[in-house]
Amino acid sequence: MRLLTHNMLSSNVKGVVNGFPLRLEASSWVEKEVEFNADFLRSMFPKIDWPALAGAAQKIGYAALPDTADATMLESEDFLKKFHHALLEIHVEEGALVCPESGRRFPINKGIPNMLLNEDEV
Amino acid sequence: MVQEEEAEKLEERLRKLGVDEPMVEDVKEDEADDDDDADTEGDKETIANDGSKQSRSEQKSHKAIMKLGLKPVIGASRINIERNKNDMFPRGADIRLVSGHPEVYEPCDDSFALVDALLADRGNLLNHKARFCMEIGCGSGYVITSLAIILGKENSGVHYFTSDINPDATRVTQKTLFAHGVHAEIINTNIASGLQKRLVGMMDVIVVNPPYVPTSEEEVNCKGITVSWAGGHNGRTVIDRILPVVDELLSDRGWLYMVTLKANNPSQICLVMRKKGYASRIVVQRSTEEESLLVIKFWREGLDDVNDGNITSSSLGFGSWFGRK
Ligand SMILES: C[S@@+](CC[C@H](N)C(=O)[O-])C[C@H]1O[C@@H](n2cnc3c(N)ncnc32)[C@H](O)[C@@H]1O
Repeated sequence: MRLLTHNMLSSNVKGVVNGFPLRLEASSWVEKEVEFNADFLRSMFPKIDWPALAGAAQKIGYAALPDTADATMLESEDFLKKFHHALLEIHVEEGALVCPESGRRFPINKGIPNMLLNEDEV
Repeated sequence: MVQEEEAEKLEERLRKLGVDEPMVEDVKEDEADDDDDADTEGDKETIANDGSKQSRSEQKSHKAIMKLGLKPVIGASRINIERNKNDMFPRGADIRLVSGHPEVYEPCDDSFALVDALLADRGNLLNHKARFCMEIGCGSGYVITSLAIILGKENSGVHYFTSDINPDATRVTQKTLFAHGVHAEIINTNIASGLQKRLVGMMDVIVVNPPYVPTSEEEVNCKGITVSWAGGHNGRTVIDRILPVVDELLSDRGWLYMVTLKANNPSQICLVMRKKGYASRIVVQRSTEEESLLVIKFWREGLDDVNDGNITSSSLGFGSWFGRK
């Protein structure tokens, strides 16, 4: 699971109002090189919740992202490279996503998050 | 590169299908030269059903049984079927099955029809410059892997998401994608639950081969292989849950390709989508000895079709819902 996906997932448990961002707990992750595409990053930037991305990256020991970001930074190649790395190249293999409101844990096994709910949660 | 070889194979398949033009095809399976259930030629073998694995033919038989309104007897579900020796997994887009699982849907005529539709519409897909594509209900991963390969060479900035409610399917999909050198983010979830909020309006292409076989409603709530085909009343229960989600996820210029069965009342599906503002057309139409499949493409009307002068005709009947995208 890429951090892009972490940025796009929110808690789907019944009754939860603010289920984003899910708290990332990662016990293992890998880095895989992905082709750099500045246009993609620029067009994605407005859709990304920056604090959620920076926070998740920090959890896995990647502290190179600034705490806050704005569109002017997209001119910097250096910023884009870091954004790219955090968003696409870090894959969480084992861990969990935790609902910030209900505490419900969604396990991540072999890189696949499990968002399935029990009957009483839908 | 694995990916390039696959792309070449796809291109060959495409040549066989005949050019990039959108097409409507009506192949009687028993007349087609790549027929997988040929009854006369070819060495036949009886599949030994010693494991718990269901062969494609068994899955088909199951579906046929469901359609007759019969319940398969629990514990007596093994069916001995003769099939052609060269009816191996790779057909269509030549995707290799590197991993299988008794509870995961093996690519079947419906999967092939969907990939053939994507191949037939490949020219448009390449020009579409999609940023995000998604498959709902990826099963073995055959379709999403094919899509990634179809778009792969020329569209490098595309990102793929895929979901399945069956955990085993997500794991098989992961292996299939990996073996072909392509990537998709896989989420084990019901339709797109958990993704729906943040991915609203972001998908440029969604592909779905839903569970479409008419069954009882209980079967829809089963687990494992049953949910791959059990479609509830008229085979519409899951389809009707998927459509509003797709509507939320699709971008303004987004396209949906979906497999349906004649029994699903596709013209009514088009009408439902019409009310949400979508035009539609049939990309592939195919009849096998058991089922009559349609792959329908939907897009938000009034966007590019008007510019192209392809305004949806308004004659009566089924045809009236089809534009010319
Ligand atoms: C007909 S199979 C198609 C599999 C594969 N896409 C193909 O074409 O070969 C339908 C798939 O949808 C999945 N599915 C059924 N209901 C679902 C749901 N509510 N959410 C997500 N996936 C679902 C099944 O597990 C199965 O893998």
